[in-house]
Amino acid sequence: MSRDLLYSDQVEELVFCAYRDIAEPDGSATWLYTDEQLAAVPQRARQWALGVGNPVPHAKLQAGERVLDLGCGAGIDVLLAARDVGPEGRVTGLDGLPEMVERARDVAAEAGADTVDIVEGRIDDIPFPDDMFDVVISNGAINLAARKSRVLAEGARVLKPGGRLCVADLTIVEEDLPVEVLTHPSAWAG
Amino acid sequence: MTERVFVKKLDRVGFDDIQILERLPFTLERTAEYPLFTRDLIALMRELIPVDKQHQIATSLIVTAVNRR
Repeated sequence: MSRDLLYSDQVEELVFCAYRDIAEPDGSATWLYTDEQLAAVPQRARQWALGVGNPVPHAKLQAGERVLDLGCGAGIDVLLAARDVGPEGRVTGLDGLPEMVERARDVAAEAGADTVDIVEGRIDDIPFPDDMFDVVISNGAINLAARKSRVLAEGARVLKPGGRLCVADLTIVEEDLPVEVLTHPSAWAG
Repeated sequence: MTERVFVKKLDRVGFDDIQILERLPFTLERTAEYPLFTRDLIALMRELIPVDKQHQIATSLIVTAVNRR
């Protein structure tokens, strides 16, 4: 009998398929960023911005801090965070989709961001040791995970004691949405 | 996920000082601009969600918290 009570494999496949099916996005999330931020990142980072907020200014990053971006996508927030932590800091982007990892690496290389690492891995099984980061950020990724508590627990695990979390994510009021919408497969990917 | 559940999960896994810094409404029109939502889902939402509710079908939160350890 399957022990995957959350159907997490199916959810993950739905989400990955939705992202793989995107051909050429047109910067759906650029409205969330300032002109100054957008001017500071390569065009492909703007084009592939698919987040739901602008978390980096709220993270109040300090020079020299070590930052992890959960579900970094093409890396717009990774690059913005790298500006804030400066040359003594380091920002790691983590994403589970190989195509997105490759895209983020290309974008980081184009930006000349040498304090950035892009790593392929699961956000609910973060491939880093305990107490590694000063700050964990995320933008529109946690709501895509089947095991949301597990993602948050993993974020706490890799944060240093007293480390900060700064997340932008979508929430809903379930009573406001018809059941046909709530149960639509595509609803999970957004 | 609802805001209440999100905050509860953060508390349960070990975060303190949980603050909601921003609540940004997502309209149906704005949501339709995201390629992750299929056309049939957007069409379904246009059909089933009353027009007076389409101005906020979801809310984007900015949440900060501090690791309790």
